[in-house]
Amino acid sequence: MTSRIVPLMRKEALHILRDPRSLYLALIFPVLLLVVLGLSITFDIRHVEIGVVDHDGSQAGRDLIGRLQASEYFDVKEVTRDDGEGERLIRRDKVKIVIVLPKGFGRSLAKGETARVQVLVDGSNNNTAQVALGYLGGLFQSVSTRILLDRASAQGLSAVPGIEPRIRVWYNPELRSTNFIVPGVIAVIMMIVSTMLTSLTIAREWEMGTMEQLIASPARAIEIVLGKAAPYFVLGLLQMALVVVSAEIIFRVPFKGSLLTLLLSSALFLLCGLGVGLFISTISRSQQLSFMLGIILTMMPSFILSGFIFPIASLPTAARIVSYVVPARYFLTIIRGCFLKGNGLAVHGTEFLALAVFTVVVFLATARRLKLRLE
Amino acid sequence: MRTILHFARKEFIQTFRDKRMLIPIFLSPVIMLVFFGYAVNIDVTHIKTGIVDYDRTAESRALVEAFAQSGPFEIVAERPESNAFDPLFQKGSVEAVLVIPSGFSRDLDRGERVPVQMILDGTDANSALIIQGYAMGVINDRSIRIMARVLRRTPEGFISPEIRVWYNPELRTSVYMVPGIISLILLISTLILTAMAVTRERESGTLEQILVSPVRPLELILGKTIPFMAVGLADVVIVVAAGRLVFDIPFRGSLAFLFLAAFLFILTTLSLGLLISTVSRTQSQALMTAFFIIMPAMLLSGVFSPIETMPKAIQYFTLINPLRYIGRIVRGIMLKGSGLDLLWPEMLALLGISLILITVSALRFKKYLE
Repeated sequence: MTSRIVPLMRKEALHILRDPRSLYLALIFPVLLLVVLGLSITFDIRHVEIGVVDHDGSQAGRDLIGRLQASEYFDVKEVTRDDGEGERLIRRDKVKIVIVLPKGFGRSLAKGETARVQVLVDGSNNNTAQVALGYLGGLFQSVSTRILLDRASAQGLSAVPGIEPRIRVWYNPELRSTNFIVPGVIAVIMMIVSTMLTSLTIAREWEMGTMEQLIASPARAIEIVLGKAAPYFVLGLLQMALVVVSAEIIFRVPFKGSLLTLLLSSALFLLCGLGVGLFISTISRSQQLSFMLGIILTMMPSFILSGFIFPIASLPTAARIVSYVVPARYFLTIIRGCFLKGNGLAVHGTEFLALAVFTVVVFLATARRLKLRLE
Repeated sequence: MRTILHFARKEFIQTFRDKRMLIPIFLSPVIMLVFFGYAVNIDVTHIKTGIVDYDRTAESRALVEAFAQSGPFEIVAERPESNAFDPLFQKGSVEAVLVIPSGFSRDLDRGERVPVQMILDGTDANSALIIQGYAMGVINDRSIRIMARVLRRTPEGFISPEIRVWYNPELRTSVYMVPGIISLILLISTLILTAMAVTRERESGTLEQILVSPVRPLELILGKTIPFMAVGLADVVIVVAAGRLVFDIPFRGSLAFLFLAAFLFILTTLSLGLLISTVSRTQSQALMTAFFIIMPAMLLSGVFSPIETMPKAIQYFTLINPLRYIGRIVRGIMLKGSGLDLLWPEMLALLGISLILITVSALRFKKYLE
């Protein structure tokens, strides 16, 4: 068996080496993608532009504006007395939030009454809107607390009970989103690249008619499959190493786990991706179609149904069920656990098993389909 | 003119001869809609929360109850000791743990400010940030109620915000995503189709035949690109209609304006596609080069993540990205009903970029043919 696989692997390796541009792209592209994704996807929402329509002009209103200005979360762009101007600010995309302080705002507060404040929000980016509203709610609460404390001391109460939240964040204390995104990017890139590379090369053989020659040779289906996959497996490991090293150099993501866990899990995951690529190539005979199928079957699910950016728990039920057959989901859990929590095989046994099962199934299915086509 | 039409017809026939190509061209908008419009959800809900209550008094239970009632928190486990949660954190089975110290109720009665600990899994920084906000909100609210009780006033804060959300009142993710998909689909389908069309002729050797025929380069270019312009505009219709019918995405602006903007944008992608085909020998090279351009263009456009949060240098880079402008235009038209009076800077930028790209690609293409 090996006597037939080795020449096939040699042939495939020669193919890779003979097309320097593709090789170059295969090695540079993942790093470029890493940089672009790592830099562009941040959720560190700070300095949300805010406008204030102040109908009151009281000291209390100015205090509130001062608090907004002092907060790192907001950036007060404009203070006006005109309602129309406030709405224009949102319409022209100059600010995301406008706070309208009504007449009598300061007087209500001074009397110890609840002052109503109108908040206009541009909801078109719902994530930013949600986070910003959270910040704003916190700010209003702290104003309320301040007033209560002032009133207590005015009443001569020296001790006022209260609860102070102390938040402790594990694994990623500064809540840097790069620490979350970059390990995920590694997984997504590996999935895309490994699938695309294999499916495209085989489609090319079909297009050029050399696949028939391979089939006419005495090699068995499973041998063809393995012979095709092996060189890309090596190339994939090389890419993986390159991406991990660049991730460490450029983004300085903490790496708390063991290299062995990383190596084992990425090898398994690569096999998975290669399997999917080979499977696609048994469906499609043109490069164009393979590419599109690659995008639909691997790229989109790896991006969206894997927990890469969007939490799996928030997916609609049907999508959550589908996510169980997205291999990136399992690898993401492993690689994030490995990078940030220092988890090893023991913690992520289930995920390893899932990846292994997926890989075996995909390879068997591919060999079967290929055999059908040979006959 | 006749030559151009003949060419366009040939290109149509060639692209659609493989029936399976219909799937990616017309099904991919639908699939992207399903993924981005239906599946994507940035809301943080069902936060798996653990409780450690060392106090076990009515007051501490009231705080636990406040979390349970707040909505996003879902209490999944209660343990007597906080380190019992360590393995659960490691596995990711809990994301947040509330720790109420012993003597919580007693210290409150003495009029002290009592710290309560909330431990968060920071792995997913975005979710953790939102969870942190929720947790502070619940605790502060409870605190204000306790203070108000002591001061004998109604248990509500002093500032009561009355929130009105424009353009997307329910803060749905699909309302944000679907207009973005239009720009993305246009980029992907038209760019790849154009880049592949010329390289395919080259690979199969038919380009030489065309060159010896009396077709002029301009006719060749137009014949090659017109069908893809049509595909792109058809994709706009598909996404807008599906967005409207399936996802209930508002369309507040003018459809004609949207087509005009899409037309300008497709000019840039067609030019880019031609440029790629002049530097690629094989279809797979063309594909990879196209992919190489699509990924950064898509990510650094503000279509899916806000430009303001990117590093400064990257922000400047986005200025030359046509996707940045079409993204803003489509969102403006669909969600805000904006017209040319507000969106003229973006239209102007798009026009400028497309003129530059057309000139460059026409020059290169002419040289390439000679």
